[in-house]
Amino acid sequence: MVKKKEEMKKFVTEFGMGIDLHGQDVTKAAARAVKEAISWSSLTGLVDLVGLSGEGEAKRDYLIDVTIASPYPDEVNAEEVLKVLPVGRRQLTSIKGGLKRESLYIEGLDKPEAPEYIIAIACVEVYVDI
Amino acid sequence: MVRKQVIIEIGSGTDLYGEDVTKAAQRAVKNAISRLSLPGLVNFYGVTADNVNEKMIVEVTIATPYPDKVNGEEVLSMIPFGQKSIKVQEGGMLAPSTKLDYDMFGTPNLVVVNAVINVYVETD
Repeated sequence: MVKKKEEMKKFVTEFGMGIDLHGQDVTKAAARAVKEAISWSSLTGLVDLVGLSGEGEAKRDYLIDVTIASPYPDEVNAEEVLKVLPVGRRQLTSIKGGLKRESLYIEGLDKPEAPEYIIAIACVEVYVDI
Repeated sequence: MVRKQVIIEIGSGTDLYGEDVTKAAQRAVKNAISRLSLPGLVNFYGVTADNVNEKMIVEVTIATPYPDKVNGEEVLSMIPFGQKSIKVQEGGMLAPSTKLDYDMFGTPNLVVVNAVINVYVETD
């Protein structure tokens, strides 16, 4: 049986920011935010704690809980964003936040109705079942 | 006592005017440690406020131009706790700055410094 995060203990919290400059694609901004959050550290402790191998196999259960704050939380494609994570059981919560800012309209890149810069913030939390 | 590796953190820092590699290295370390929080130290490794300076080991590696000019003590002061040590090696980047910067500060380059921080815990 897989456990919920409330029944597990937190190992690490990482943060990142992602921007989609043209195209108003909030999923892309969110994916970049997650990529930044995970790209600046290596969780070597997971090898000891859960017996993680290079293929992502582990002896103990661990969970990656992602929270995305963006201006259009309903438009975030969770499955697409979570593909950025290389290993592990994962889940995503999308909340309102981040930033949007009026941008210059460029034909072929931006949506004519509302050209905007979209900025998403990601919080990536890793829980371990111990 | 067994030494277990917990995490590797990576950061980058610059000094735009003055070629102060110590300042750039401090910023690289600050950058590396400011991206994440490690509740796992308390939850899994038995680290507390009382024993953190004995149990937690922080090894800093800096890659910078002019490695001999880095003041290691000042760089390590950016790390709040743990048994700290630093290794400085040649690397990083010297990039040409503007003539205006040269006239004002007397230095022709800006410096970019890389930091890698290895965190270990001593466990029983």
